[in-house]
Amino acid sequence: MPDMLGTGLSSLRALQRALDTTAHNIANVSTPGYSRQRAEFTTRQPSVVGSTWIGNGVNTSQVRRIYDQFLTAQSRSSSGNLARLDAFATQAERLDNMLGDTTNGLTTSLQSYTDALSEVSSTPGSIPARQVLLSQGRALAQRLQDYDKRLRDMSTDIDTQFAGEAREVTLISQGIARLNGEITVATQTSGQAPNDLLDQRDRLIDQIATKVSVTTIAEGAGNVNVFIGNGQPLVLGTTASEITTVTDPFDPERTQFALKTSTGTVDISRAVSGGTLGGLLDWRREMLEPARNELGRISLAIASQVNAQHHEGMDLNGALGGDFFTVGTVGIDDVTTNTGTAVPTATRTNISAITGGDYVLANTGSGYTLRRQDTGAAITFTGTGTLADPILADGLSIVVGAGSASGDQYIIHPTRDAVLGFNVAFTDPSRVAAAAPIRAAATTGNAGNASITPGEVLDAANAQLLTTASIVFTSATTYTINGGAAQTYTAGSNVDANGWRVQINGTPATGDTFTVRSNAGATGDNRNVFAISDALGAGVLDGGTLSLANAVSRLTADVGLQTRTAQVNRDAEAAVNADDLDARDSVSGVNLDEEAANMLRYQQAYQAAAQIIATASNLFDSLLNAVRR
Amino acid sequence: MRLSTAAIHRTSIGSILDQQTRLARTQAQVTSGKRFQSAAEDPIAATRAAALDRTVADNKQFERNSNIIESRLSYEEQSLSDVTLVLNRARELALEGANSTLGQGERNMLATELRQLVGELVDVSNRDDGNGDYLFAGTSTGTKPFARGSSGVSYVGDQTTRFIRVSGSQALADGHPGTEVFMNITEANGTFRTAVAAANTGSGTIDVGTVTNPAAWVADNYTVRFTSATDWVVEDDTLPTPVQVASGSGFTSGSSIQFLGARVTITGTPATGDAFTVQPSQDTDMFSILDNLINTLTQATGLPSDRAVFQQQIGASIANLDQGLDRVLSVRAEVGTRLSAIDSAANAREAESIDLQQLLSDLRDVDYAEAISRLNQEYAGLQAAQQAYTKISQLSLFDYL
Repeated sequence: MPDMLGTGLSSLRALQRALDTTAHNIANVSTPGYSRQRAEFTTRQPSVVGSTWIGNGVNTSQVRRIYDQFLTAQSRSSSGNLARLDAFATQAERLDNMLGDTTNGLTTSLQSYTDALSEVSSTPGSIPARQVLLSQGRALAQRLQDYDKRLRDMSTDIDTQFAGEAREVTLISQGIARLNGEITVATQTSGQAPNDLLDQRDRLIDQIATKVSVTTIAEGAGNVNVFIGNGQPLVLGTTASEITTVTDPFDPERTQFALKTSTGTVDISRAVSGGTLGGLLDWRREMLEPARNELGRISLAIASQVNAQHHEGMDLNGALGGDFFTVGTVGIDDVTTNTGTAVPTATRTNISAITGGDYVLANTGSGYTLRRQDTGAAITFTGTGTLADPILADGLSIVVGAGSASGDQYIIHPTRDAVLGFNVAFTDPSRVAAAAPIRAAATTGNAGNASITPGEVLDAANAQLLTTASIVFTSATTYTINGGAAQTYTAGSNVDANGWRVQINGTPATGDTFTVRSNAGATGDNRNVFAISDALGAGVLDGGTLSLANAVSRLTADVGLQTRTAQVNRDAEAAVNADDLDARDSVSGVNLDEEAANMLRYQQAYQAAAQIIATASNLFDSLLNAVRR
Repeated sequence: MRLSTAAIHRTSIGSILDQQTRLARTQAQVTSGKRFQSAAEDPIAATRAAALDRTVADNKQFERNSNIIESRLSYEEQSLSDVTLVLNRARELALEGANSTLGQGERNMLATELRQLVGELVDVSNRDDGNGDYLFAGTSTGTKPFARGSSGVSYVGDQTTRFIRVSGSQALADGHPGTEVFMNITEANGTFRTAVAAANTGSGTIDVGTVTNPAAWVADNYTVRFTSATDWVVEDDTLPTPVQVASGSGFTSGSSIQFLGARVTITGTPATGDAFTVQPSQDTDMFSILDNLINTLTQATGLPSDRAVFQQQIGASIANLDQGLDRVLSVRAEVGTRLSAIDSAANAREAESIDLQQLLSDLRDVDYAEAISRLNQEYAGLQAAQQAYTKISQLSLFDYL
């Protein structure tokens, strides 16, 4: 039986719901992740009056959440990407600010050091010039160590950040698991979707996606399962797993991620990608570690070039030069799962062959394998790892020693620790070996016109190097050294003995004598410091094609380029993300003008419905009045 | 497309923030004068600028080096000029002493002056560069290079030459070891030395001689022996049995004797059996040359044969002094060449430096006109974005309800 009063009342009730929903939308205009809602009206079941159907008013069938699965997923994915690129770019900018400084950077320190070398070269006897050289050497060491320390600090920062992010991911996962439960209950109780709870859960999934890339799968009545990495479950129904950071078994200086589930702990660091965590991992792998290794490689090359030549010189006290710079040793870490007792050692044999990458040496039971840690590429080597027959590869000599068990692995860091021990080896300026250790001279009164070159050192370790040697011509074509066997003279050819080499040119006469002896007292000799300058300027890295100054510039340039690329990628992704968010909001976002119009519309309809009640009341009054008469 | 209120605000704020970032970057460019503040803003230019900076710094160091060499070479040049004066004075004294009218007393006076000249020469040879580093000690710059002993002046420095870089490709020596200046001077005419045999009785004397045909000369010991007053033979004494290489007759005073590309002139009257030796030149040094001259001047010239020896020795001394002067001249020429090399390196550096500054400026310096107009443009842009935002955010349907 149709009923005007009932119809009016249904209209009032429905419009009341609509106005409530509008108010809810307006209230949540600034709530992140909120999807606007709309009250959906349906007409009530009509009644048959005679042969016609008369309508019975309106019902609110549901309050619908305006939501597009695809657009939400898209904006979530681009938010994750943006977070990853932003984390990368932010860290890259830190590195760039540190290394890209052209006025106080490493380039300047290296330049000051070579200038000081040049200064000693022009005034070798000057103690102040030598003092400046030592100071500049220390300044260079300080600069390298400073950089290294800052890079280490960045690495520690990252680890701290990892721990924080991991905790947050765990908390969010727990939130999702809890909401899964509430949504299931709410859906079952009311039969309707709990819109605001769904929004909250989506919001949490959005948040997790900016930390790390996840996949979600809806399951059953109200659950969303979240998976991380290669499908490891982060949230399954109402249970959440815990993400923790653990020390990398391959590198104690580095942390990685593990997933604690009810069944145990799984290492997921290799599977973690995307989001802030992915960005930080990428940055550590692509920029921080290469920069540290490159810095180590540069320090090593500086030290080895200067030291090698410094050893071939003589200081003001007449002693042979020792090391000018000290460097840190090759770092070797045991993998924590190792069962053997061997303590391997490694030394650098050829600096120009050292690559800057880290290596993994594995005991296969029947021998060893060597591979790059970053690329996994196998490295060919010789030797068996014993003291007598060390493993030789890529400029390294590795002695594993006894006690290594099958399956044991060792991580070798050829360059990373070099900077730590980098410093000037002595403080006494007179110990700068600016002079060559030997001098060659023609004896006064030689009848021939032959001349002798100043001589160069082939082997500074030769015990006889500084012993005076006489080259006596027994005829115009033969000579003896210290009365030894006669040798044939060829003008300009090498005469080698006692670790030195000279050349004699011209026409000697019988009896002509040349002496090669210790250069002690030659305070004005700059031959060795000159050679050090040349050695520093020469190509020494990458098989002799890259000079140190260029290596330093390249480090700066590489970091600059990577930073630039990261910034460009981030800006591009930011634009994509803005578009995605706009697209999502164009469906789900609240527009206040729209809500105002809705409010107006519902208000007017409500007023009209109220009039229906009034009219019905009037009609009823009219009927009563008619009956009363 | 339907716009949500949040999106409208987000877009407006985003664009304001972008404009602010751009404005801040331009502001940094204008205030610092640099086009980029870190390598990331322009990696290629930053790397190139760093390389150019290195060249600029290298050039500065080369300039310092050049100044040091120039100062040392100037000291050396001054010393060499003083050596020239000493040698020229010695030569004058030798010519004066050669005058046959001079008595022994007068020659002794010449010798006295020469002794002073030797002292002066030793002083010059032991000069330092103003910083206490000896100029002619090779690289043993802390050791006084020339020491006078009982057997004359000896050299105790070394024979090493120090090279210093004056450009990326050029290193110059900043001096000469003492051996190259004062020592190892080839005596007499540079090829052979002549002498009057001590046993001669005649008045014949021999000049220093010349080489007329270097290709024919064989560096052996020869003796010119007069078999009579007019007949002579030249024998090679190097072998145990002398070998005759030339002979002649009809000798008169002042006539020349030629053999194996050598020509010597004998003046005076040699007695039968008198001999003159011609031997390959040996190396001597400036101090010995002066000492020998002193010895010559102080020796007796009473007998005709003594006179003959004296004349030969004076002649040899003058020839030796000429050799010494030649040496100084050639060393000075080398010093001059080095000084001019320093100059040309300096010129090249200067030209390069102008290019470098230009290049660096192009790479690194901001174009102010462009940057400031950009700054204004971005300023206006930011202002417009802010105004637009405030205007748009004022619009709301609720205002009309």
